[in-house]
Amino acid sequence: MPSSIARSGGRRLQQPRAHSLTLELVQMHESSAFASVEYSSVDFLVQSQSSSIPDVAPSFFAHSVLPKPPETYIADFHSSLVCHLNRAVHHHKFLSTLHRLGHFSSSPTYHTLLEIQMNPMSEPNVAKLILSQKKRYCKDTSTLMMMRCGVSIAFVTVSFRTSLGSDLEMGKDGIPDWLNSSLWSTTLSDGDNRIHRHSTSPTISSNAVSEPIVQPPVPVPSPATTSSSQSTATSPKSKSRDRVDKNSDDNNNDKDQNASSYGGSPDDISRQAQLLTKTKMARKLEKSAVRDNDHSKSESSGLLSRSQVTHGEHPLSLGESIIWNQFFQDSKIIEQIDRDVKRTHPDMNFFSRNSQLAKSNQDALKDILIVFAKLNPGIRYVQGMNEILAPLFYVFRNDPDEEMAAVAEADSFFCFDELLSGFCDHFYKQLDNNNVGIRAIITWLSQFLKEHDEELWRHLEIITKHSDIDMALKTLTGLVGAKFNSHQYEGFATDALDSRCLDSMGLLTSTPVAPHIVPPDTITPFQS
Amino acid sequence: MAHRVDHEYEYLFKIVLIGDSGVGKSNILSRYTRNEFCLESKSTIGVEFATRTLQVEGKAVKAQIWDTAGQERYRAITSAYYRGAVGAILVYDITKRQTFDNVQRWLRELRNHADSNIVLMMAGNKSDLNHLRAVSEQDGQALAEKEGLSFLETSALDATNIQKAFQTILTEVYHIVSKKALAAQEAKANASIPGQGTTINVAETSGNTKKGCCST
Repeated sequence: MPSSIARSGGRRLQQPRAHSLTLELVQMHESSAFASVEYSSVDFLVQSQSSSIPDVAPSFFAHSVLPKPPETYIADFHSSLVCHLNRAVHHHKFLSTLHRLGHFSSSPTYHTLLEIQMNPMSEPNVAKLILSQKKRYCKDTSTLMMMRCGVSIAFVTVSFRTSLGSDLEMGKDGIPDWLNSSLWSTTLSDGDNRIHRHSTSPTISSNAVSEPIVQPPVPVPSPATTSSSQSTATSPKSKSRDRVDKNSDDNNNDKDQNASSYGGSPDDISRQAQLLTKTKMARKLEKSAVRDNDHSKSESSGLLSRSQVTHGEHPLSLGESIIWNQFFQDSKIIEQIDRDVKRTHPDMNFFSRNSQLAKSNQDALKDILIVFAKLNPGIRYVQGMNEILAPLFYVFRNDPDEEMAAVAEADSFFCFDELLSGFCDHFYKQLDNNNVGIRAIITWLSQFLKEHDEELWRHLEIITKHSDIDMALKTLTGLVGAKFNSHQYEGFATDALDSRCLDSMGLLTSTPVAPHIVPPDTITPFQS
Repeated sequence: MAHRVDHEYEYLFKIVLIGDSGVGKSNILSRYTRNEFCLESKSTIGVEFATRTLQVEGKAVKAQIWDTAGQERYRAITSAYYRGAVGAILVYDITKRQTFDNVQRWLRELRNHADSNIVLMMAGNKSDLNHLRAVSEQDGQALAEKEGLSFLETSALDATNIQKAFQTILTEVYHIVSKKALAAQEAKANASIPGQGTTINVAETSGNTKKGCCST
């Protein structure tokens, strides 16, 4: 797919002419490949053969050091974003995926994809998103803030390198991995199997560790159960009762719709998704007799008929039953997500739980995180993702254009997915000891700081004896989402700018970057 | 981080708070160090820490308390935080059986990563939610006895036993440390007395090692 120009690798452009050149390049690639433009703080990195849309992350941090008025960047950013999206949408694979998604007609993901197709992330939304990042400089120029700022910028650069490297691994069709996910397809693709196998290795080991204390999965309703009375028979164990209670707490129509939406697909994965929301389904069946009309439909798709339940799939079996294991794992994650979403920005009315609005917002966050976890079995959900997602959702949801605000969930899912794809290596447990994993990045940051600002480094070292991990981890995994408060929500408050920060940025960004040629496993974070 | 006159302490003890996500570790920390409690606090990412200086048997002891993220994903990264910890408070939620069942896992985690002499305490948090209780105090007590931990039921919300928990663990740590210091002093004193037997032993071993060196 990518043109020969694209294959020849990205070009790093000099600052003054950067954006016009970028656009030129984009137009050049327009007809042939997905070109992606990434805006770093001082210069632009043109990257071809990459994911279908630009990395949003850099712009979050870029605003504070833009050499030109931010509006220029915003305009460029729009045009490139929109044209990337359009291309992505028209890609045949993408479309065929969409067709396959027919069953999902009301699921949030389908919603998302449809929205992208119909309305490729409307310009106003992008504008708002980016404008919202334009933040007055933080008054607090404490060392800590400087550090955070430096770290986030360094991180962006680092994540560039790593993400550029990992782009080489992308499918031959130039399709982002998440589009190839088995969730969309009727059969598991080889690639997806690999992902699954990959992802289960750590969970297996953790299961092995926790085996003696994990409750046997006995009392969950049998998958063969379709009648409401049976399916709502709950576990005598407190855990599963808790879950039901929790679900009934959040009970509202939206949730039920989501639950049912999973039910339409005939494939295995969606059946898992159905199982995942089974308690909701159970409640739903119990609650409304109206739904009985759809009974046969839900039986065929979601709840397994008795003939489909093999011994291996019995919830009591201790074997490696895929469906039930999946179910229990998923319910764990959903519990975790639920817990974290409820304590996302508790100080803001927008997210706090009392009002109807807050509840629907929380549900949206939850749905996005759950879908993301399902789509990325290797990462699943990591605490802190809610903090990243929250500002995105906030921005989209508060769009003055009501039509846009209505699809905030879809827009934020899309942005969130893109944002995380830029640095998802940090979340992979398997990569922890690798040279692109979180530890390596942290070590590198520490070394970088030591090299360029030893005084600050020493200072941090004295404050906490683990400055390397301590300071950077939150920024690296949570970006700066957690730094928001209700007053300065419109901005990402890392822009405590100081000449020192600028210096280190200059050094960082002036590092020659040629990651297209370097295979991902040879990229070391110690290149500076 | 309290920037008071923190220099005036004789001992600095690092204590880690561990346990499943959502059991109230952060609130225990804030209750103890700042006397604050927030019903809906944010989830901890990575680690946070706070300090408080207190008196243990007349000595000023500065407790540096590290509050870790509960989610398993962060374990791999934060295991470094066990380094240098002299005490650990293992928190579970009395209203959630699962968190109690996971105590075993946390103990294993500590055995793998922490110093073997680390002083452990188990705390059943949220004791104010007695009507939602899923783990009886007896169960907690029994497990603590079986594992040889000290045990308290705490509540960060109404501050029950929070002070006591830290005081207990810090006192215990202090005793161990002062005992060690005493032993070290004694050893020093003993070493100053000349002993003939030891001289002979040294000569013997040095002879052996010489042989070993030559053969290799």
